[in-house]
Amino acid sequence: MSSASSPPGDALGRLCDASAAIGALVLLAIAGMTTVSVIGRAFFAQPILGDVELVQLGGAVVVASFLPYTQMRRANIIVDFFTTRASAASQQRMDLLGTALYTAVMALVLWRVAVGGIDIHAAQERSMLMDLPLWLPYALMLPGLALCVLIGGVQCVRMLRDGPDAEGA
Amino acid sequence: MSSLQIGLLMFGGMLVLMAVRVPIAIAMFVPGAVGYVALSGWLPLLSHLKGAVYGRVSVYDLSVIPLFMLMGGLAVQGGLAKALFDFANAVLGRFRGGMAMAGVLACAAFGSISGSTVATTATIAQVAYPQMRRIGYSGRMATAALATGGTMGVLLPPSVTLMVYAILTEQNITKMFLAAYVPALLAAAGYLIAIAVMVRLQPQHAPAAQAASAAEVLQAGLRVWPILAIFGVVFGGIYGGVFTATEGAAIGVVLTLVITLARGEINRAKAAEAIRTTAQTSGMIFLIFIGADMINAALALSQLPAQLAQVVSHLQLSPLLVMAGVMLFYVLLGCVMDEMSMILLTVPTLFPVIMGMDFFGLNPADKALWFGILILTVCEIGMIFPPVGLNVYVMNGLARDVPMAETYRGVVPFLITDAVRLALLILFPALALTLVHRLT
Amino acid sequence: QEVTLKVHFFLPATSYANTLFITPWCDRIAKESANRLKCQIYPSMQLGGTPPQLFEQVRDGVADVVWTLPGYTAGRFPSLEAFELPFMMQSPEATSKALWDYAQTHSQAEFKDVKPLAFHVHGDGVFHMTSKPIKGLADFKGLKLRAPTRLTNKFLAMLGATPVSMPVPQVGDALSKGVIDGAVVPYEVVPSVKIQELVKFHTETDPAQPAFYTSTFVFAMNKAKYEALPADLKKVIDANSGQALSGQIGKAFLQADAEGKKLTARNTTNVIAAAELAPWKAVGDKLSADWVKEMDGKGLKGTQMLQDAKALIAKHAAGK
Ligand code: NA
Ligand code: NA
Repeated sequence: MSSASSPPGDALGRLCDASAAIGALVLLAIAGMTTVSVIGRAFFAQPILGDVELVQLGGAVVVASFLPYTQMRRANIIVDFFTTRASAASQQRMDLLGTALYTAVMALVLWRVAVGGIDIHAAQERSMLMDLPLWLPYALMLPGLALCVLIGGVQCVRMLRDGPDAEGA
Repeated sequence: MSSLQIGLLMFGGMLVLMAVRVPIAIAMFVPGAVGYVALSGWLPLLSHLKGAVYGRVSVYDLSVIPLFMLMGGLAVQGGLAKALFDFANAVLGRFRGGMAMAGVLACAAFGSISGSTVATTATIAQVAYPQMRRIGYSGRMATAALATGGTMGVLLPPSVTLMVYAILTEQNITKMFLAAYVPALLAAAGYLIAIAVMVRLQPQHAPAAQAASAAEVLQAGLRVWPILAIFGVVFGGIYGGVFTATEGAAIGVVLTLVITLARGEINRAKAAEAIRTTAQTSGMIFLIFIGADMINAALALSQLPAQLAQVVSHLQLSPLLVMAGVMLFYVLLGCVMDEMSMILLTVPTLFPVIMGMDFFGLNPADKALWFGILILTVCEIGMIFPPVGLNVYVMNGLARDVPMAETYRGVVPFLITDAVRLALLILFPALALTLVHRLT
Repeated sequence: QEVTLKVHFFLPATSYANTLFITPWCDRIAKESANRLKCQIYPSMQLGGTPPQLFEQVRDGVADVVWTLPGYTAGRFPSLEAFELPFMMQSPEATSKALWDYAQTHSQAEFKDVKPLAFHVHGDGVFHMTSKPIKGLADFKGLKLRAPTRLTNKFLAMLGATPVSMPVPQVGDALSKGVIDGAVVPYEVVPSVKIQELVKFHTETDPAQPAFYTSTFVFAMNKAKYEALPADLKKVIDANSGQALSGQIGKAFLQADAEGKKLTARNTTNVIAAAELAPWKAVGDKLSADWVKEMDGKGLKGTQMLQDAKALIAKHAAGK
């Protein structure tokens, strides 16, 4: 966990942990389903029809569920090449800018994925073989994306409030 | 403002944002989005984003990344990865730098099936990097070897990227693949030489050579069978065409989980740790993909390659000068694009420019094959070229304890061999073409 | 006033679809508008997104003109599926004209948010197999076959194969890695995927018989972009769209099939004779009946749609 300082942060941290765990469960389900399908295909000429689309749909949910955890750990990679000699304070200002931009971008993405899902729902688009509604993966991406906005916002607030080192990884 | 200027401003904006510690993915996304609005308007951007993110994260082939991450994480936590490395080290530790060389070759083997530089480095590094550090490699050497190693597999047949190039330029796929073998071998030789020279000049970056006794090798060998069995099934199946890379990765996850559970080598805490690294790394890579996608779409919209092609053909420069310019352009694109995006975006416009020029009197078919090899070579160089390079970010993200500058210092010797190889390939097209002529 | 149209599609610039239809269309509108209407062509999904997202892109103005398969988005355009049922199409030209007419009555609601410029179909679907040739119905069992649309997927499953659904651009990679044993696409697609170099066997159904499958395509323009054109430019678009253009594209695709087929000369080609197709057609009839029921269940006029499709195809085939 990135910060042990404040209780709301801890709750948020636990949410990010939970999100990653959910993503991992979906990933395990994908792995299991695919394995069953390959065995079925190889030995019984009977794969799971639509295994590929399940991987696609599930993969989107996995990634969205993982994103907030990455940001919580401050693991979205930065180039420190040019700023190693900069003072802690100016590095802090730059990180605030970076986190603020991250939050804004994720908010934009959250909004647009939500609208995209609504559009797909209205168009009644479905997956080719399993006939699953395609708005579903869009909807299931939203909690992860929302958590990205939340964690980014909270990190910004903390950096403003606590000054340097408040967000040591 | 012309679309060419907007394209260049996007690039500049991205570099500035990166320089001030804005996360790379965001540093790509923001100028990309702004450029998109300037070129096409707000509504198109908002509409584009409705589907683009889902489109990027729901790609079947890219699911190998979280799957292999999880497989690797479980193997690391369950001690399987350590067993593999102990064995490899028992065999190769007698050569200074041997494990770095093994890492490069493992990347090459993996890259030739995964077809993606980023996926290759992420997967191999996750298993190999901590082990290389453990036995005494410096962060500089370990990250540089693995980041560079990831770039060479894409050239090795079967290469999706080369296939797409062949389609775009109407070349024969078999000939295209044949043309790639010698350049890929040269790349491997160059990297192995770079490692050998580095460990000689700066021995502190690699552990001392240590000859293991036959008994030690045997002992390590006895512990290594579970992971060898998993690798055998997964990679044998993928190479043999029994299943896809994604399916192989899925089977690898299941096998690794079952074996480590059965041997009592994994518990709740270790599984949680494997999940954490999987989540953290996958999230980091996919956010970069999302950002890269945004700036790629805007660069496509700006028609930057087409405009440059126009400028170039107007300038009436000498062919080799044009070629040098083209190569430089790809090194730049390597900041923001993976090889496939670069090929799809640039080849349709730059290829005719090159085909319209004379290089050593090559006939059109030979010229096309040769240019394909050059382009892919330089795409890969772009992905590790300082001060930014997509693959270096990914590698560095996996090695949080190593500053980016260290990785770049480590990459320099490899880049020198890359430069030598590129020069050889440009000046001696026969290196790529001889095999084609002999065998077809 | 000069207008530039961003034209987006998934095949490469070298594809017959581009060289025989899209670029000539762009040249025509440029000429007829004295260069006031121009295309900026973005092949290979250069503007981003996936092939199934092309329709949304043109609806929302990410692109101004797209060429795509409605069938890539299952459930969204049920009416056009009537033309994707097995053994419907004999001549792509006549069937494309029929499809245009049909869409005017049955597909207005589905395409109300765009300005359709043409509806068309491709020529006979062909099996392209890497190592296991298809010589008859018995060969389908256990084969992994790529198919484009919902109904083709269903049809292949009913024939005993394992369908894998993917857009054309992924087919080459999948064939080369053995992810699929083969793909169904018309010969026109061959060079866009280099199929001739990736497979050894092709299977056609008797060319004198209706194709075992075809896919529908829409060539569509963003509605607002069209509405905003000055009257004289609108006229240029109008003159280059509709039933006539649909028929022209169908004809171009027939020519493209002939060109594509030449590339496969070195491979082995099997032809399923008309007599052997009877059991295939029985399965096809079952699928058609199921489809009609499914459409009726959705409150669409399944019986009517299939009847109209057949009648219009017959009418245009007769040259009327
Ligand atoms: Na490869
Ligand atoms: Na670069």
